[in-house]
Amino acid sequence: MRNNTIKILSLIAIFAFSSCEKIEDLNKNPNEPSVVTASVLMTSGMRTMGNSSVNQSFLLGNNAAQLTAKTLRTEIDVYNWNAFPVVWDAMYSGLTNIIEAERLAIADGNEQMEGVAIVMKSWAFSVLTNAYGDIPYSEAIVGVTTDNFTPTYDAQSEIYNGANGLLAELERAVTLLNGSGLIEGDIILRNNAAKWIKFSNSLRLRLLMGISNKQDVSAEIAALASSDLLSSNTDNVTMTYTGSFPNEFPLLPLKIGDFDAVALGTSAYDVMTGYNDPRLTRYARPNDGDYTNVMATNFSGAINGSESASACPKNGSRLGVAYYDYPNQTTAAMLEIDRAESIIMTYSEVEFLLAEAALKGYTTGNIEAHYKAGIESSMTYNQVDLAPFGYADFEDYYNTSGVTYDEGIDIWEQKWLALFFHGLEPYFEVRRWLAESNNDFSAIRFLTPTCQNINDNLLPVRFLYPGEEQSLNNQNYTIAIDNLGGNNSFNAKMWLLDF
Amino acid sequence: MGVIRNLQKNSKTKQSVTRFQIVLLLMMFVGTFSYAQTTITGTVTDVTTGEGLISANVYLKSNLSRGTITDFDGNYTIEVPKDAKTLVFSYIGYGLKEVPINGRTAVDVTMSESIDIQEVVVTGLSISRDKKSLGYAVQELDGKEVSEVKTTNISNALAGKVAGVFITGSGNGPTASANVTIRGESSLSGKSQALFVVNGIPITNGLYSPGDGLNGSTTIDFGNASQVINSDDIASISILKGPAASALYGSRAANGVILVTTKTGTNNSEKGWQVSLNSTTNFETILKLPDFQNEYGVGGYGKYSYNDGVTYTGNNYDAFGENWGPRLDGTPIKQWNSDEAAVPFVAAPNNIRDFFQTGITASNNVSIANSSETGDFRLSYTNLSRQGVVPNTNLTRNTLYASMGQRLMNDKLNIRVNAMYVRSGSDNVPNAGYDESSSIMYGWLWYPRQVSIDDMQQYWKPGQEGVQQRYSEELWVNNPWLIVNENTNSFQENRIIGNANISYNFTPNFSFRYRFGADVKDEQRQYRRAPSTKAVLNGSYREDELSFMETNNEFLLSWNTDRLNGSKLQVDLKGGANIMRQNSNFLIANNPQLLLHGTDPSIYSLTNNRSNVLVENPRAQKGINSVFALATLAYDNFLYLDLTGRNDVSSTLPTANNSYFYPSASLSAVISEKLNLSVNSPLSFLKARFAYAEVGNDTDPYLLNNYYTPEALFGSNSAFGVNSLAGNGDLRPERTTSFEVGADVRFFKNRLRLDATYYSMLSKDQIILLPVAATSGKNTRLANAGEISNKGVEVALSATAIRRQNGLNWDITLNLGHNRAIVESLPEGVKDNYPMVANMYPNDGGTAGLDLVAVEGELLGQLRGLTFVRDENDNIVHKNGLPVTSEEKSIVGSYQPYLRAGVYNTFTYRNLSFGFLFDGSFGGKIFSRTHALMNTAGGITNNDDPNLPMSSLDGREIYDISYDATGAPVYDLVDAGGVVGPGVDIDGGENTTSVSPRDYFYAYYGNGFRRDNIESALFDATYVKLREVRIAYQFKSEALGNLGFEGLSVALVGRNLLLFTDVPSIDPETYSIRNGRFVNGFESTQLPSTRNFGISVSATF
Repeated sequence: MRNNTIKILSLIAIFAFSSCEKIEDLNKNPNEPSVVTASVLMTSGMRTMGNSSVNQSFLLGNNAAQLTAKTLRTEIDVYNWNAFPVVWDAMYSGLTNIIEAERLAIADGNEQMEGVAIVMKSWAFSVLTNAYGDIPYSEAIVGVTTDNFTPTYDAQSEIYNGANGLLAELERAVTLLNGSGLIEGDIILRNNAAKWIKFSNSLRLRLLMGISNKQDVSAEIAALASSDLLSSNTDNVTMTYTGSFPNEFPLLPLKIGDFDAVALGTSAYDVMTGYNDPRLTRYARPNDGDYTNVMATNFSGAINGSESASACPKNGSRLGVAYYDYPNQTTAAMLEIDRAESIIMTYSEVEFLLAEAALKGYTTGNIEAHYKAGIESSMTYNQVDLAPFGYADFEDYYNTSGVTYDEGIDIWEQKWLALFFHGLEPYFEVRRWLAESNNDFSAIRFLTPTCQNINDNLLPVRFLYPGEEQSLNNQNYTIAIDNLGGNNSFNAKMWLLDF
Repeated sequence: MGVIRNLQKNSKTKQSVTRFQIVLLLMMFVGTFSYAQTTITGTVTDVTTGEGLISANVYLKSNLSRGTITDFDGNYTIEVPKDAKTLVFSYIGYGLKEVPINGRTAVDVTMSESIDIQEVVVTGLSISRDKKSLGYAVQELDGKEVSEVKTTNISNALAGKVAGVFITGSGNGPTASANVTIRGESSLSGKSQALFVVNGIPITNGLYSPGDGLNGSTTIDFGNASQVINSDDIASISILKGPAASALYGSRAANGVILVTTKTGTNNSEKGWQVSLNSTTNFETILKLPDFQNEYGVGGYGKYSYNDGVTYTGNNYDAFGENWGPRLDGTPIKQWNSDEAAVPFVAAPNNIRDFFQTGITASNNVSIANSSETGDFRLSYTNLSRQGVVPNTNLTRNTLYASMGQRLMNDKLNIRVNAMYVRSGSDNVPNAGYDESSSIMYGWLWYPRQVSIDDMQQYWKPGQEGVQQRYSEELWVNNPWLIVNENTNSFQENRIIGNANISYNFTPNFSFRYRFGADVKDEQRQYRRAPSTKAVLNGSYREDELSFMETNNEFLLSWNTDRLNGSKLQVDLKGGANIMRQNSNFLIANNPQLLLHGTDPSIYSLTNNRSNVLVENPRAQKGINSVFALATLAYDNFLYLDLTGRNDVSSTLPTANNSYFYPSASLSAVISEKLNLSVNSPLSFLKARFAYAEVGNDTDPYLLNNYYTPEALFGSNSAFGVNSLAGNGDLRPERTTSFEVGADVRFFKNRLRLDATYYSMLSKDQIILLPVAATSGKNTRLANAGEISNKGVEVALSATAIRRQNGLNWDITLNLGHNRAIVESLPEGVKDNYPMVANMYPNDGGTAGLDLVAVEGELLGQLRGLTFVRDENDNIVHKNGLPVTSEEKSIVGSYQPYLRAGVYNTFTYRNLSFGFLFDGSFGGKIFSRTHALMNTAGGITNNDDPNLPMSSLDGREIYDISYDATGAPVYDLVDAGGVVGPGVDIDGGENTTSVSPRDYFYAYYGNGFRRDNIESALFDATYVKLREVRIAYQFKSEALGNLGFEGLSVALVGRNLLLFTDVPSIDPETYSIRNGRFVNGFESTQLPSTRNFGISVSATF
């Protein structure tokens, strides 16, 4: 009897407790690796920032620059900016993966990959510093490898001009891109080192022009003008979407109402109808859907400004077919044009930069030749159809529409139009041009102060630091605010505008 | 129309009842067995009055689980084994009486009122204990209290019935979860749910909502897992409130335990075989909807939304999907569905109410049970079918439950097996929340007041069926019928909860028990979104496969001293070990864009895709090995001391810190034993109790290291991102310490009973996610930080106001629970603002972000958001006539109620009983986004708003509308309208600027790019509900004998019949779900709560 009992108990004990594994082994993560290659991080970071660039255009850049206008929720247009964190969060999130990719590329000794990472991160940091002023730069992303979760802010002048600043880094990147290694995971320039060199130089040109009011950049720009720059639309720095979710143009999933909360702006409408510009049917949809009827009356522009019943009407045409599909309406495929890409930098912009450099005497280039190439490449990029507008070819358009080069402001006007959907770049440029014009809107003939704005007709000159920075990185944030004059204000002048 | 539809459904239910009855009858004829049993009958009477005692307990001394209760006349019948020697009789207030059988078949007993009390409750480790020996708070409910009321989720049936238990239900469809916390929330990370334990084995009660937000959806409430427990199979529920009561279930029990014991064959021991049938039918209607206005239709600033009366074309920006339009006065207007003809513009007053239908729940249970000398079994089958108030939403649940027990080797070896198999499923679980793709509640925000709901029934555009929906305005919302009929969320779940229990008594003093329990869940979910759905224009299809398993292996050795009469010291020692393992495996496959085949109906499958199918496959494993010991010392029926200790080794913590010990001690002193109370003393019982306990806690798997997260491919490029969480290899276990002191006092021969507890808990070293600056490359890091204290009082006061044998009895019970959860400390950097839930409405790009935050020194769970700018006298500051919203977010109060109270009255008169329960929650704040958004959209009157004394009907722009020769509308201004908001102007003085009411409401609620002014729709969440009304009649057994029934009772039950609250538009008993956690204090477009009426019939044969 007692023996039976013991047998039963032993059996149970063996059954129950024999399969004991080491308990620590249960905590091995079956879902996520702790080691990856630089290439997969590069893809992730590029996608994040590429998508962000589209959203930046749609919600901020195009509207602040009056290419488009908000028809609902018009805070951007009425200059009532708050601490929206979208740009900050997306760009630092993308930077996390790019900088981690850079770290792995260095460890692998892959110079070209390192070069790509440097160009990408320099572009992202340039967007961030241009938007906010002082930002975490040299210590950014330290939390991935250390226990420091409160990176210091770097002064904007240092971010541009420091030994490890953007201008120096882009120069270093060109050297690295000419070096050894192999680019992988690059969904922007498709692993082409030569194109990355062109982008690096072109981005340096853009940044130098951006600080040309602060310091003498003529020699550097002159040197760059003869270097490898973006030289055709095939060099454009864009992220081409695959067309399948989640790698499709980020605006496509929007509700109709949310997409229609942005319409063609009056300023752009006026300029384009004034020149009978064929980009009209690419930037906007004809109001009656008829693409052969390109009369100005078949389009309309919404007035940037307050959202109220009558004072600032919002009857703007919807944005073009490349940006959205409407049920039962013409699609990009029907017009045989491509869907929109995420634009980081285009050849067209480079030509306008060269035109401006020549105009300002930094180079001896032909102003009009660059200006004209800028317009033409923008037209080509947007796959315009000249015929309905009554032009035989681009020459015909250039000579008869009234866009022929006349004075410096022409460069800004055409560049502004060409920067449609170029992230925040149209806003940064409008801001610079206003600064160079003593903040006088009347000096820039294609812009006006927005309707019933709340900031005394002054375009806000920076984005507000997100609220999280105040609570999560308070010490460094406070220093940055002190350097800004004590207030996280959108009217506070950052270093590059302080001239 | 709706009524007829429902009646038909109802008759279907009745047919199925009949089918059951046939099965039952068959069983009855088959089931006649005989064995060595003898039947004893008798009467239990009061020694002084001679009246029969109702519901006195009669049981066999050698097997306390073999028992019965006396009927209304004090009569009883009990089947006992032939060799049974002693019967035990007990009656509350009358003490205990043991009577030798001596071969008799009739045993009549008289009992006298005494101060001796013996109530047995089930406690930790499934050990039945005499309640007076417990040094901690336990409250018990009879299974009947949940089975008669028959809520689909048993948690809801507990509301108001147990002091200190906070239950928040919601109206979110047939599977709606219930948020159950005991003694308040104690965690910053949302892990505050009470643990459910079924027959001694913890079961999982997770929400299981992986991959929130795919395809535009918010979290869909498929129900928390504990709700599968079938109320017909419940014998009793014990609520162990503090960690002291539950230290032996390990970490998860720190938040209290809801201990469910299921029925066995021994629960029905009047005779060998018993068949019982329970049938309940419940009807459900809407309890509360917002106060919709019916004077103005869709449009903006007094004008109709579409200038041309047809579809918005982009020519004129007139996209007001709101009810700020023209008067609904019959003026002819070209409308969206009038083929460009001007037709009268009139209200469709009940359009939203008419959309909802009467919900029906039918639950039928049949069980057969048998007990013999050496064994028993019970087999039960329950079919529940429920149809929600939202059309095309339902739930079916089939539960097969078996319990078998066998005693072998002269009762030395006991074996019991319990097995529960539950198959549940739904064709469609409704979604709620701020979700355009599948929430009808979202659609109601903007739904035109003039559009009848029947006009929308045809939800496809003619000729484009399956491809393009038809809806009243193109811009913002989906057709509600499309949502409920096409955009479905279905699931099928198999769940097995089983355990095997073997115990062996070596000697009367020494025994061994082994238990194995398994909880296995396997669920498939399918989410369909039709083409042309807002935000999912191509349609989508997603499947989830969720499997989860938890096993527990446990053994226990017990030794106790001899139970000799006269021995003053009794000692019980128990020691054991447990191995717990959890395994989960989720597979989420998402086809984000369907391939369309012309106008053919869509094919909802993973393969019919025009994009990549996105797959996620998170798996997790976790284990805890434990050893534990328990000692009970009893001295002279007067002092009882319990000591427990447990050591856990958890797989989720770093090896250096993964083993942690936690002890508890509790003391019960039955003071009245030593007072020598006379029979006439007003005090009849007095007990004091003290308890101290610690509980350690671990965390989730895989949080110690840094990882890279897989992302969707880009073309052929793989993508991984740095995981935004910084792991921590130095984590330590969390700790909760608690202290409680309580008293159990009874007066007047136990007719007045007071059970009160004060407790104080401190949870420290919490394992929390600390937000870090995004510029660091991480968003959060894991740390041991934060302290939360919970202090509170629980009072259960009950009285037998009237007690007459054979006459009226009136019992009244008051349950009170007061709790304050306070954040005692937080780490640097987040002291003023630890985000428990950051950004409640992530799907809404327009929101400035409403957060639930913790603030050091304040109540846990503060609501935070933008507020009004106010002057020194608290007046709202206006600029240009519009309220000014703050730049910075502020904290506006906590959701925590200061009191939860329930008052339960039961009256019995012979066979008739009547009970009603009022239940209320007092204090705490709730933000109603439904109210805020409905007001900004002009859809409700706002007459019931305690914050803003302005009707949305005031000051509207009014136009006369006609059409010119070209057919374009002509608006002639009749009244420019305008409202002046209460408050001051920014430049000083009273606000006198008149503005359009639309502009005012937009600014007031902070709508637009920075949506959500939290103050504007923040209300005191106090409510009182008539929670339950129950009338039951038990037919006399004599009358039933001829019909073949042994017992028959009929009950009418109503739930949530009345709601008293100052909160406008919504029922404040609700919560939101974010990131798999319940968030009280925030309401956003939740489904309306419901009122239930039902009839329940139960019969035994």
